Amino acid sequence: MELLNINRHKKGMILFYVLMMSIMWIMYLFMNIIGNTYEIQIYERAYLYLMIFSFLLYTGILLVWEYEKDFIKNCVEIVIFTFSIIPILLTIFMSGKIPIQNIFLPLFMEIFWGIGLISTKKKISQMKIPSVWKNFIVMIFIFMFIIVSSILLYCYYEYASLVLTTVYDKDIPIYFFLNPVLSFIGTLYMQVGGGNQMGAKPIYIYFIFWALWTFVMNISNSQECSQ
Amino acid sequence: MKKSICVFLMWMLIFSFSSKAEGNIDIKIDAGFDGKGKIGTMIPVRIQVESKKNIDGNLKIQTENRVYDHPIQLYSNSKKEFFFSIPIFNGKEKIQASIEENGKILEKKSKNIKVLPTETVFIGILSDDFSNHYLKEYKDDIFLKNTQIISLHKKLNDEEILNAISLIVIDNYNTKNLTDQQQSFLKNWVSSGNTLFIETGEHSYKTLTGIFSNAKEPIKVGKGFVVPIKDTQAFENILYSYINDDFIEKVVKKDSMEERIQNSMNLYTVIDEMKKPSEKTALFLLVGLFIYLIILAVFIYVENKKWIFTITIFGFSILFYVLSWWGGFQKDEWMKASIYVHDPILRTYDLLYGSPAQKDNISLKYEASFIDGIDGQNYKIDPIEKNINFPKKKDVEYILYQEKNENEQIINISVEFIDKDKISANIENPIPETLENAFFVIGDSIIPIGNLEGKENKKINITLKHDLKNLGDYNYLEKIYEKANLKEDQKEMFSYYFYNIEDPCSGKLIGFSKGKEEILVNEKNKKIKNKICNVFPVNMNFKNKVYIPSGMIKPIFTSEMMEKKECLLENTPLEIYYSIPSEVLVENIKITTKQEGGYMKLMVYNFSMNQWDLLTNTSLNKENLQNYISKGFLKIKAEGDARMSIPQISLEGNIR
Repeated sequence: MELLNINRHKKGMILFYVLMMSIMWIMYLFMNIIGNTYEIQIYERAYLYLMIFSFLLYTGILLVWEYEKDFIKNCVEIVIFTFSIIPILLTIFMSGKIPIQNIFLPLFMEIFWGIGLISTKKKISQMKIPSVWKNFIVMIFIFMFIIVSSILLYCYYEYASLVLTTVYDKDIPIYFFLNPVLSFIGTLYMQVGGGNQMGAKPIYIYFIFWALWTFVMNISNSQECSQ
Repeated sequence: MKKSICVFLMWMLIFSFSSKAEGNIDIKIDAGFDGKGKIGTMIPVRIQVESKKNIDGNLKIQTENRVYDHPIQLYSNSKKEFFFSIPIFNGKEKIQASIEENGKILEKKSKNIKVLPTETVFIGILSDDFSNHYLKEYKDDIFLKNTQIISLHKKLNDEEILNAISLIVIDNYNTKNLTDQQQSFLKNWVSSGNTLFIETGEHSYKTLTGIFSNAKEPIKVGKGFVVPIKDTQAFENILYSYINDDFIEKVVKKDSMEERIQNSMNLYTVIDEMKKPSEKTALFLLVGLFIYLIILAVFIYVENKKWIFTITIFGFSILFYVLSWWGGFQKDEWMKASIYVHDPILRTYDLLYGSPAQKDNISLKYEASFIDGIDGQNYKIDPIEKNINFPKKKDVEYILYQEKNENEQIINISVEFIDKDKISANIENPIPETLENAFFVIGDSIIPIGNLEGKENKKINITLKHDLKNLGDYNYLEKIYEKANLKEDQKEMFSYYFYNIEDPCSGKLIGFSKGKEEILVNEKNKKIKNKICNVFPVNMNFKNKVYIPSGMIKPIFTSEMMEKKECLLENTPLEIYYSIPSEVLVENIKITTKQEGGYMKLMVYNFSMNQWDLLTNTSLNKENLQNYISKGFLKIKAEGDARMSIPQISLEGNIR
């Protein structure tokens, strides 16, 4: 039972997260759905866009998320944080009368990314550098992984004149799929009907990479340290 | 030498014929009414298969553009008979029946059907003396220019085939041999507006049994008549006193079955509306989310049990998950849009839509008299077992069109004419559901009623305003939509009814309802949503004087164009028929029409002198009237080069 307790600040962050997602859903509802002709794609797009937004918001919140000393407790908290959005996703499916997708796949991707990020934060805080820089380094880490690799992908796209039909396109070199946003968007796009030319390879790579990363970050766990 | 060669050839010929008869399977086809059928109607088919060895395969029946399949199993040295009915659409039809096993054709046989045109009057005869029947070559100059007599003995297995028959005559026939079902088929056929003649002469001991036991005088059954006649002469004399507009329509109007099928895609708009998720669902779920947020916020501040926050998150997730499974938020797999026409026999015209999540083969059982797939998929229609098998494909939509007759319902909607344009209406909603946007169409007036609750009774006084007078098709429909305040899908249903089924001018109450129906898919009952356009007949009562307002008597004509209320005359004459109700002693008739551009002249047919007279102001006065309506209907011809609205008549008279 102790395992299920969450710090008060974190509860506030979770509430903020759910609130922002609900507001985004309501805005989407009023902009695109009410008053327009019905198209099943609108709801599938809603799922896609709202999940991408949630991923970015999730990452932003994790920047200030306090990490716990116990690894398992960390995991449980991240899981609770991720799952708090399930009712909203189910609402999207129910409103649109579309068959319910496997929402657990993207949610687990978010969980792995979240645990990796928190472990990285913990590891960095254990390193011997001035504390001002610790948050900065975490931010650089996220920045490099998400934004810079996307820019590199764009440059590669222009340079090699790629013709891309879907996100999991076989012309994209496999290294780019370490970018969590790309893999995440790829999975979602595949679920709502886009093509998948690489099978489950990117997903496996994603999970294995982030599991290894978490493992590496947590090796030197035994030392007590300050946050 | 030559003689022996001839004999040799003759024996070869005989042997070749006999070797054919030694084949394992023998198929006998008996299609149509003695091999004949009327275009645009259903014909009865009897197929007999006799086999010397075991068969476990498929019976395939092909016509010019349709294929039907039926699985067949026969033991060796046995035979089976199949009865069913299929529609004929083309001027040339051939039925080919073949038996297939494992993809190989074991035997096939075909038979040509003589397809007769619309003007042919099919007279159904139930008589022990059919071959020498007195109506065999019966002709007259009015409607019976081409007649064809048909023996209905042992053919009354299907109600739908009677749609091709215009008159039925029963004489010298043991009506005790008719089963209850066959008697009810005949009763429904008469109720729909047809005439049945029954002999009461020397063979009355045979004919006057069962439902015909008390036929001493002509009686009106529904919209049609049962008329006793003593002998052949009587038939000639009284035939035209007992026909009404349904008889005239069957002879004059071209078949529209194929158009009804093709145009039924217009009803897809209604299905689209039903597919939409309702906005109430989204609001309900938003309220659920709101509660979720509030409870989360509350539990931030409650400090006693710290784990409640987590439990809330998991609890709501599970709750929403359960809701998505059981709450009816799933996609509807099957839906239907229908037009129910009570005439008084209820005939339904349905568009059935399905998009099932297909894992196995799907077989749908139908009770309709006729069903057709209209989007080019490979449906396997089995008219013997009344089954449709869908091919196994993922994410496909199926659209089917069907027509069927159902039981008669008692309708109590009556209108009494107090004065020339003033009526008092007594309305009872015959269905248990709400009738939305109900309105009357009486002649050229539309009277909106509003919503009627289930089984609600209402009495209102109405003044006819003739707001639909002389309007072309488009304006006619727009006026009705505006006055009755119809929604988009209701407009589409009414437009389909107006163009493909009938003109409601003779007095109808039209209303829209939502219902739930059951269909049998893979032997399981499924409840499906159904949007219905109901059309109810209105009983007209007159006190002393009869005033039939303009437009109420339906003008019957046939034209290449789609328009119903107007016609572009381009130097081809248009003949229009108006059936005068036999209960009325007519005193005077008025015709109104509107002409735009060009020139036009109207002529009216004089039955006493057998010629066309020019229509003038005094033509239809009391003195001259009898010349023109002596046969029970009025015949008008319009010639010229102009756009005219179809002439409407109003009449005054007394009850006979």
